[in-house]
Amino acid sequence: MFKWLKLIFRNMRRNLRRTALTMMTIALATFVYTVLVSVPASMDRIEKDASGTLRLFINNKTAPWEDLPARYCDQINKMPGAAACVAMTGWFSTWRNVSEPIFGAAVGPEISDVFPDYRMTHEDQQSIMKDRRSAIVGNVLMKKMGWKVGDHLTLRGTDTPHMQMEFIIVGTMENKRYPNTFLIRRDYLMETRKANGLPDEDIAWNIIVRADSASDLQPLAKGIDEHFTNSDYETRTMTESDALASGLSQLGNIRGIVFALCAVVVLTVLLIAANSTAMMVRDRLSEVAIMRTLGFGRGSIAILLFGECGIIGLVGGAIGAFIALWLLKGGITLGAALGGNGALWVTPEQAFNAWFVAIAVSIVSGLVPIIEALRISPAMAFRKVV
Amino acid sequence: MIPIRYNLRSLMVRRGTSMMTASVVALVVMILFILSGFVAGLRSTVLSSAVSNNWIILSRGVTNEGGSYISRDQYEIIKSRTQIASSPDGEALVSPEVVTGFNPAPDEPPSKVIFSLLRGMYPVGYLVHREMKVESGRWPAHGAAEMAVGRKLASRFHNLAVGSDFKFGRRTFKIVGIFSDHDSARESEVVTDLDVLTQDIHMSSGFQVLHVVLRPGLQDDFAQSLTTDARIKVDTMPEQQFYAQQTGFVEQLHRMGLVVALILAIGSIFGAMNTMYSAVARRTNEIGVLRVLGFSRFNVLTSFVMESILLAFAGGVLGEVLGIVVAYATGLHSQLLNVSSFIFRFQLTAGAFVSGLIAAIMIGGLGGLLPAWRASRVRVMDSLRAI
Repeated sequence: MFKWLKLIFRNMRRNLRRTALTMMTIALATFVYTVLVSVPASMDRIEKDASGTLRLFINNKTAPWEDLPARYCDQINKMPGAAACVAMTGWFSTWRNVSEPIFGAAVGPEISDVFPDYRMTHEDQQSIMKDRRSAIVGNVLMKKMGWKVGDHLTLRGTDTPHMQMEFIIVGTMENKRYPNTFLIRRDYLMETRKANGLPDEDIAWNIIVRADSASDLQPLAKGIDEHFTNSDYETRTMTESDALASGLSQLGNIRGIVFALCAVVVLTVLLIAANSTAMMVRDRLSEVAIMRTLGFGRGSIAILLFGECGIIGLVGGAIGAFIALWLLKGGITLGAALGGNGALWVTPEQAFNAWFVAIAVSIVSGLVPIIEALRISPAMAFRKVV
Repeated sequence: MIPIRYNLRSLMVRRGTSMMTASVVALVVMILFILSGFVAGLRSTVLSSAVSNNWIILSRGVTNEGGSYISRDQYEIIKSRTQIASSPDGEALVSPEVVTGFNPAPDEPPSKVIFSLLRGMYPVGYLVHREMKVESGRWPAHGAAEMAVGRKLASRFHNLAVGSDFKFGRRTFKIVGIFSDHDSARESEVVTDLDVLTQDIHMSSGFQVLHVVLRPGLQDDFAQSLTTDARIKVDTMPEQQFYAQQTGFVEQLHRMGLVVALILAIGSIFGAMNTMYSAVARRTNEIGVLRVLGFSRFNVLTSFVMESILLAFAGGVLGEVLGIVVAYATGLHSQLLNVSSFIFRFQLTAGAFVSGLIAAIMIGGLGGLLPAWRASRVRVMDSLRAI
């Protein structure tokens, strides 16, 4: 085995420029592939992560962006199977200029009962209670804006009457489902709305309920919708993962486009690699003949040539996959397109898969030229015009 | 200059390698081509919502229709402006409107649904948006719970056919018409009567946006008179400008696609370099002969760059043919695509053709330059000794 490796490395150095160019091509393609594959994978993960939670999202039945009365929580809390309920009111704002949109999610203190899995620390809860300007920020948004805990900021609403609000970041939240969250106090938002002359209604954009157990989810969802039938604000209740899926589906045909692009990337790199393997084999044709005459079997020569392809793919793929992992393992936000929920993450498994694809592609690229070279009899190979 | 025929024949000799290199360029050009067709379709859908001489009025500092608010008082003040054109009946062409989200298929699972917009208008709105035409049925009557559906939305959702009922809010609306709007984004919207809609979405004190038709030549005058009036706080701009601002997200998509194409293009430059280097290595003695015949180093350099460009150009043409084939085969051209609430069509533009070919030439040129440089440095004596 070791003897083969040594020979392969020797061979690879013979036309170093070609080897390097092929490796770089594979590295580039692996990088693109890793990132592309992560788009649908990130979308799936966001949904899947949420499928185990016991939460229900309640929207206005007419359309999800219509309001609901926040007081619905009082009635929902009394229903069997409901553990905790929180009303969320959104606020679209921008930071320093319009290209830095922030979506403020205003909630009450019940949030920590509805989202116990976010493990909001006791200190965070204390500081939120102390100052109404407190905000808790998702890790991806925090990184994107370059904020740190303790920062003071002023945000400006995008809708009329463009109210300005001041916040102090008191904590950050590590989570993959809502990494762009900007969590603020609802009483503060409501007071500011009133001070700016907006109607004094206790409106919520949606209401989030946590059920006692998984078996309570469906009956509770049904119960809530039935309870508010024929009221001024009818409701539509769905599970957290359905709600997220609904948000993600607004992106349109993204999934199909990404898969098509991946296929083209793989095909492109396959062609480039096959081309360079073909050139490599053509250079070595007489050499293969000599080895065959000396008594090397077809198998040994195949190991030698395929080994070279494999190692080029191994190194190139490792470079591309590692760079993708290194750049994007922390996640980047996909912007307003995902309603603030989405972020793109490259996980070690995805990088590893892409690496594997790179190796496979570069070995497959050698199939045709190498098998052709091995089928020629030594005598013919000598005679072949090179 | 070394005849081009020499390059063509050289490419034909290495048929297999030439084909593979050209195919790589073809794939990259195909991606670029499809991307620009996609973006062009989306952009023209958004932009064609605008009609010349039509202006839009939003509350000050707001960039979208949904976030704006215009009170009834402000509407009355604006309506009396003399710069506004009037209909043959003498009615001022001002269309107050309210938009809200619309779920065209409330019974489908949430992940299958694309949200659209429901626009409340008075009948004057159909005169203001002059390009909106009834394709079948009629417009909703004033005060009736009726809807007319945009052509593109109707072709996606068959439950929105003329004559069917649709439950929205607490009411059941009757679908009474299908309308077209020269392929604009409005064809993915639904319109209904403004007064009926405001009751359902709890907004009765005003409107969100005004669309107005101005008398030709009085645009500046109109804008001036709105900014100087202390009673109203609004922004006004031509519809063209407003919809151009709405294409920002298209640019974002375009840029993301371009990054992918660029990385692949670099990869294919490497591929072309590989091919050309091996071509140069193989033809060392030919280069020697050319030099002996009196061709200069510069001639050799340009000849090899030309060869690489020729190869890539062929790939580019192939890529565009491939792009068209893929566009039709996968139904991109006939099927309606959607991004967010915009339903649109793939569109082939002259720009896409030209930019694809330019990209191919760039790939060939850049990929061929270094190998050609090496070819031009070949020393005559050394190369002839190899024969």
